[in-house]
Amino acid sequence: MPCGRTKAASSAASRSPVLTLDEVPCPVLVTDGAGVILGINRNALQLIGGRVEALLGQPLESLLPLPSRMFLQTHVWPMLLKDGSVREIHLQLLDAQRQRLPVLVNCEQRRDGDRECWIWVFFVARERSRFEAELLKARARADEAAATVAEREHFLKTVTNAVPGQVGYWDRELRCRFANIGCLQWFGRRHEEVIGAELKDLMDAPTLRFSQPYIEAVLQGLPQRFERSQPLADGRQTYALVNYIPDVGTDGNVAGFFVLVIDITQLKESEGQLRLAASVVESTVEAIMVTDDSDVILSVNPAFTAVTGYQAVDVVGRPASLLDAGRHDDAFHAQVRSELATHGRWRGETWTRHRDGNVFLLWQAVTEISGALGTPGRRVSVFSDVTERWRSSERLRHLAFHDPLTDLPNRMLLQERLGQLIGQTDREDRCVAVIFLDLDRFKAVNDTLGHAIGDRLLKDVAADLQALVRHTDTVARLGGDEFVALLDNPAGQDEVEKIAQRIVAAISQSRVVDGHALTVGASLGIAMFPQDGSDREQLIAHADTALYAVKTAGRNGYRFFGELSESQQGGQHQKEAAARISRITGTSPA
Amino acid sequence: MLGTQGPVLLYAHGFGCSQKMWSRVTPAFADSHRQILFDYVGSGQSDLAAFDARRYASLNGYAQDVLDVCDAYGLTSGITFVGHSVSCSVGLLASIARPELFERLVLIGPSPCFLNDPPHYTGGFEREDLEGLLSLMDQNYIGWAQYLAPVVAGADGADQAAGELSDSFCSTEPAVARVFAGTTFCADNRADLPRVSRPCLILQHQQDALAPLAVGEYLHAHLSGSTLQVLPVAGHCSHMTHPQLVIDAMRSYQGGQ
Repeated sequence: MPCGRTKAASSAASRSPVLTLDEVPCPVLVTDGAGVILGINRNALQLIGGRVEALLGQPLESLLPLPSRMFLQTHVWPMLLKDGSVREIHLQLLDAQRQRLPVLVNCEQRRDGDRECWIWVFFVARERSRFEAELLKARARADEAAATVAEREHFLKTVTNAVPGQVGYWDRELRCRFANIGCLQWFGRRHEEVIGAELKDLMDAPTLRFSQPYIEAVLQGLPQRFERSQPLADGRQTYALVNYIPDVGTDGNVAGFFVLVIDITQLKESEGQLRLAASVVESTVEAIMVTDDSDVILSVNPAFTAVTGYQAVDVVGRPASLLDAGRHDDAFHAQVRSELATHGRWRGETWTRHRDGNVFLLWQAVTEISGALGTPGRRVSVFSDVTERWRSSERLRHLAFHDPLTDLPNRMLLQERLGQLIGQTDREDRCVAVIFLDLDRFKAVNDTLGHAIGDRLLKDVAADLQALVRHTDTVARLGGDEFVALLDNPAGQDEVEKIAQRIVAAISQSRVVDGHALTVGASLGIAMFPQDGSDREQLIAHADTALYAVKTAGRNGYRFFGELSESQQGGQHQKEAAARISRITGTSPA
Repeated sequence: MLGTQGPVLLYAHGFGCSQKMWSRVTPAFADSHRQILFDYVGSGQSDLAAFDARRYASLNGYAQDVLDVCDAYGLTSGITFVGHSVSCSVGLLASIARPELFERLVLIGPSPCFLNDPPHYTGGFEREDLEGLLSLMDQNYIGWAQYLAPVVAGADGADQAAGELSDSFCSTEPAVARVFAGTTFCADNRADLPRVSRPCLILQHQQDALAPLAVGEYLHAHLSGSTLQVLPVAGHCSHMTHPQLVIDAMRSYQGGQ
């Protein structure tokens, strides 16, 4: 047996004198490359127990408890096959009582002729174990500390990497000691390239030059906060808010500084947009007023001052109602509020009081702006003075209903007023007098002195007529020299008669127009409601009939329809009258 | 990668070692194959900074290492995966995730579950055996001054010191080895076996403390399209102790398909 129990490890491998296995003062085993036991010495036999014959040919593994077998397979054999030997491997052997015995193992490969064998030398390691147990404990503590450090670092990394910016630490020598992922991306370097590197090797020269004074200041212990711009490779400009916070040790010296850099490019851009929006607000001709949700004015623009006369300092902090001219009723305000509540906007016209007291009309667009993130909402009013526009539209309306020469109501307005009076009187038991007036000899004035004089005369007469009736009465010009006066609820026929007499007297007075002394007369026909007719057409027709009676009786006087004879009331002029009435009332002749 | 032409052999080392364990097998295929060897993160010359204990708390993390290697080499199909021990389960998981990458798998000393699960499954180990192994690892790694050095030097020096680990124990970083041991020996991938669609060659060792015969038979029964070949080897590392047997088995399996 080449590696037998009575010979030394190997005659071929050993150049020293032969030493038998039994002479080696510790347990020795010999196996082949597969771990099969080829030899065993006495010391080993004492340790393991059993008989030599029973052990030879058994695998070495059978002497080891399972964990040691695993370690043998996973660690020891790979090393042996790679390096040819192992030193001081901790294993456990099963002793004679099948108890686990801690041992240290050395193993070495020897060649014996054409076969390989492996010499396993065991040391029982009771004494070393105590010392090593202490060492193990120390290492367990170190492990724990390392794990804590690792965890803390992991935590720190996770937190700083979650910061949407650069977090770093630079020591006094401006070497990087910490850099989060934002820093690494900014420098475009890997972690190991950045940690320990100098700032001057990482940062581009212009940025470094710009930051230099701040770095010097922070190293004096003064926190720094500044903005800097940096161009990107693609030419875009970025902006960063940089914070340097000194790391002051207990001895008062600055050991380095923390860096927090936040990209504020977007902020800058939106700031620019805000500035633009603000300049639009400042320069627009529309007045803009912002109020809070309880209608207190928060800001106004210059156009507001131009429109309302109020400076910003006069109105900011005051209720928007100070502009209210008081022309709108509660229902109007309630409707505006409900529109705003439902649709968030309101458009319309409001009467507003200028600072100088004048009332003017505003066209106003009010929009609710809901507050972001729980802040209260805002109300933005954009408005412009539309008084002029309103006035011109009012003027158009006036023209449609008035005679352009005298500015008296025309026949359309007459119709409307008469209808209203009849309606009212119907309900309230009142009376109305309709006085139809025709100038005598007007045609002669027109024909001899011309239309200009005629027109001046008509205007004169119109003014006289208006002066002779009450403010609530209506004087209308139907055209030519025909006028109608409506007396609203006169005290009685006597009162009407007095007015008629005054009219005849006033018109008949001679007057001077453009240096011409003129005298015209007036013929008046009067119909009373409700006695003389139940509708507009009838009343005017009957007043006209009475007028006709005056004309045929010699002019310059007045007659009540009710006082005409039956033949006069239904008389010969009826056909002529019907044509006139249809012209006045706009109905076709019956 | 070794070689420039031929089908791809992708070798995945087992627990406690590195890609160097394949050095007795690879020369046989040097002329006929492209051979890829790699170290798991934390083993051998791998980038220790990439080690994340949470990623490697499951074998899927190691399977991702395998897929990352395939992607790094731009491989899309036709790979023969050669795994040892725990790497066999890693390979099976990788083939489930990306079956199109793999032509076949050669599994040396595989075990889907090292722990016993009585009464129907005998993996060979109890939990206390695993704890015994971890304790032995602790004791045997103790001699490494380098292992204590990072703790003494503080976190800053850690990367540097770890990079200088000696070649002992196939260069496995002790802390990483503990995670690897915990993950691999506690893993139970039996439920994944029916999901494997690629053909497998199971190289079972006749006498293997880590993967007994019954485990090989269990795998054969649950991996459809698998071939079971029992090598007359005592031990767990036939590719190191009996490389020729492994080479022959690989050749005939590839040739026979």
